[in-house]
Amino acid sequence: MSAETAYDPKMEELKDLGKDYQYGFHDKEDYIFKSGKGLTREIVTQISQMKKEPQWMLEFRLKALDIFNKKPMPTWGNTNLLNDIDFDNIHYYIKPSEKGEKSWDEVPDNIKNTFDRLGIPEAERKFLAGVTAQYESEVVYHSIREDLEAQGVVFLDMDSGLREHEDIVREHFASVIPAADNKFSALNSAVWSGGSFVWVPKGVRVEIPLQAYFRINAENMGQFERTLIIAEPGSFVHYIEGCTAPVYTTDSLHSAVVELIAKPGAHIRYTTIQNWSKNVYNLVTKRAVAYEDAKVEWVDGNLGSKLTMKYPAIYLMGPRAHGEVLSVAFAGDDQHQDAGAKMVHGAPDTTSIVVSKSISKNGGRSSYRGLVKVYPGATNVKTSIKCDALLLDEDSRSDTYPTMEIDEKDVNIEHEATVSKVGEEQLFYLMSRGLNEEEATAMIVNGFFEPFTKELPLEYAVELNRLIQLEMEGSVG
Amino acid sequence: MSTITREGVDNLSIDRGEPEWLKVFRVNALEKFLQSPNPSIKSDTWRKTRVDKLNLAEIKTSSPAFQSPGNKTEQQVLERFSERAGAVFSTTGNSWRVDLDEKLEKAGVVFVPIDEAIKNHAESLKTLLESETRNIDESKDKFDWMQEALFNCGAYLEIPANLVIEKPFLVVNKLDKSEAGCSLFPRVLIKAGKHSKVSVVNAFVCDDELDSTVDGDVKKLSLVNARNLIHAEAGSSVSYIEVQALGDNCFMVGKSTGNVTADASISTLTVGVGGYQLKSEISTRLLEAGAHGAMLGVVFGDMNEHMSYNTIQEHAAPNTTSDINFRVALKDEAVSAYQGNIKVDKVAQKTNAYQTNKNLLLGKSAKADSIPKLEILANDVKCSHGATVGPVDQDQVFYLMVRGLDKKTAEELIVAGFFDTVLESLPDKVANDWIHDLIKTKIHKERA
Repeated sequence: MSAETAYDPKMEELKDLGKDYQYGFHDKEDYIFKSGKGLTREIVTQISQMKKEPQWMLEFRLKALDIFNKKPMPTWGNTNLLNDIDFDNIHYYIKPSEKGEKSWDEVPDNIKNTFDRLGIPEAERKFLAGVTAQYESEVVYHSIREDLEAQGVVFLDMDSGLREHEDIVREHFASVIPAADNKFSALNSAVWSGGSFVWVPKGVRVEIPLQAYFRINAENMGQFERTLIIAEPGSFVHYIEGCTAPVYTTDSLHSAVVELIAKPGAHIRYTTIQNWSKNVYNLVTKRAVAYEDAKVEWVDGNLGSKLTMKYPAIYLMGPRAHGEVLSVAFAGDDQHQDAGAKMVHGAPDTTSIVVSKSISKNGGRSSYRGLVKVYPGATNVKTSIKCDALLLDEDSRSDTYPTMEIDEKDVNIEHEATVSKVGEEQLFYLMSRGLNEEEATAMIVNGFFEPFTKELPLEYAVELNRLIQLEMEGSVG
Repeated sequence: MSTITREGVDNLSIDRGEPEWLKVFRVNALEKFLQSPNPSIKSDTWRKTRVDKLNLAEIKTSSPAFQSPGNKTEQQVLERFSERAGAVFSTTGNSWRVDLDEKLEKAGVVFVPIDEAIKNHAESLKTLLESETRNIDESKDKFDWMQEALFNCGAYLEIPANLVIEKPFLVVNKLDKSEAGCSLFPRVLIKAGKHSKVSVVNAFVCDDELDSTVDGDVKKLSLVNARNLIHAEAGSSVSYIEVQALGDNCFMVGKSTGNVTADASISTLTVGVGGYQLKSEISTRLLEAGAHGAMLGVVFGDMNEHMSYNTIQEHAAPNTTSDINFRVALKDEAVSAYQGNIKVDKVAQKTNAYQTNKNLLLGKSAKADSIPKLEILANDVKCSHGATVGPVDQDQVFYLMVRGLDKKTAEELIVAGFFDTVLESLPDKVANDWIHDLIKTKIHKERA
């Protein structure tokens, strides 16, 4: 499928777009509230008060702020870029409008135009069960199909979730990723705003995906959304998020915390297509817990950002729980995609699969960084990790840093990785069939990504292929 | 408190009548040693080791009296390798040549204890030592500096150009059993001339009785800190086998570096079968086109032994190839941490690198970590790695038992077969038999 999509004659018109980042436009800033730069107790308190949060949340935020201030920067990963982050030069909270609208027509025009240009409402009409659109720090548009609402499915922005379902939130919030987990989860815990709250009742299957769309508009903005998805026993939900931002000369920071809880027999699939502009630091903590017979899948596409450090994790805490991470990364010039996966096996008969595909070109660097941990007593664990990397030119770089910590004998762990360039024989074969080198290379790249794209809903797969096509243009010769 | 002092290093140098440049070399290393922090088990390279249990202040670094080879352990090794090119014996602070084939000596082979090389072959030795210092200074840790400051035994081997030698050179390093807390700082330097071929067996042994040297529940550790450097000139071929068969109160830190130039090859086999902690870093640096490096590993731990092996394949030139096959089997509560790193420099196009690490868990509480890393900066390369961790395949055991074998024999066969995929490529039959015997003894060893 991927190959045909890539060579559809209609795609020709895309050539005009060249290699420009098509989401790089930005709107005039016209906000209800914009916090000053830098991070203080006052700003944190102000955010909490503006949101009229319960006292426990304010205390949680302030405690997290202390942890953030105390925690050192990670000493691994791309430390050069990390240390460039100027925490005092970031707006931690920007409120673009008064409230999240339920009808698209009521969204302020400038924001609506933005999302129209990104094709969000159109996407919703076509195939989504519900959409949340977040602009800067707040959710500006939100809808969910009535039949799902009738079944009791909760799909809200996180702030509304806290207001309307405080008990559920209080029980689960930060239970998977405590504030003290790492410096950036502490930062998010202190200043979080927006994100999605999803609660799927026992036995309910949400057959079509829920979607959230995240957009940074202002310069030096920090977006800290917080997503919590709880799937009650036997339920199923697929959640998709997409991310873009304008191109500025100074950097923005996106530091989300995403917690998934799959109760016994539940199934959560979480898909991200991250296409931040190349001035965004994308430092995200994503972690899921899967209980007995539950299944969690992270489908993770990293195309944009300056530096991404993201290692979706699954803690397999009940017998027969299953986890999968399927990720692709595309690192172009001035990009470092440091992505990976963490599988923690804490119960017997748990299984996990990691498939990671990366492409580096024009001096880009992609890294796979992973961990498989098997605790004593987690017998009959099976894990398979497969990492493949393609290097398209001599300026690019690929790293693989997997770690396997196996504390139980009765397990079966496999890891393999390959790094290579596009095969000469494959190119020759395709070119002898009449394709030019650029087309042939793009076809091979699409084929390389296919295990990933075939897991996406059709429209997303088309979009991803199109993005790859754009990224690939001019890459040969 | 450290027993390693400026005075000790000065005396070491003076007692041995060393030239001024070496004294300066040692004193410089001592300074660095004193400045370096103790390695932490939290650091990448020392993870899952028991370095925190080693008290350097309890290690005696002074040289005891001269002791000749005569005890059974080293005699057994010498007898095994009766067909050899030559042998050097090393023990705390002393090393001497047991023998060297006369024909080879006439042909220009130099095979001498390290202190003799300092006197008679100072120039080549100095070049070797200093080239190493220049290249990897910043990556050295406390134990590296300690070795440089204190190395006091070992061997120097130089093979002239075009000489092909099939019989192995043997270096036997014996940790003295006379007292706990003793130490050994051997250094082996090998220089293979253009288009020469040589094989070396470097063995680390101690007497069996040392195994039971336990002071109540606090074990006094002895230290082996070994350094090995191989320089393979254009077109030469070096085979290096290191056998680490020490007792359960021996803490061994080893570092082995191979520099491979144009069309040369170095193949190393590291055998880790005994020690309280075995920690080795084995690196092969492929410096010129056509260089090839192979690194094999056979590691077998039992009781609560800790095994930590780091391999580095550094591709610094185009058209170089490397191959790693590192296999680890663990009984009882043994712990292993393997780390492998394939590094491909920007210039190293047409690199072909492969790395595989397989771990067989035999003991219920055995633990294995595997961290195979790739850092690739060139695009026209083929690099891949694979790692597995798993128990003995019960279907295989069942199959063998159906054929009439008891369970123990069946498992023994499977473990032997697991290691055989590494050992079958070993041309030296004597070394091969010895390694098989060491593994076999260990499979059958019961907890006391």
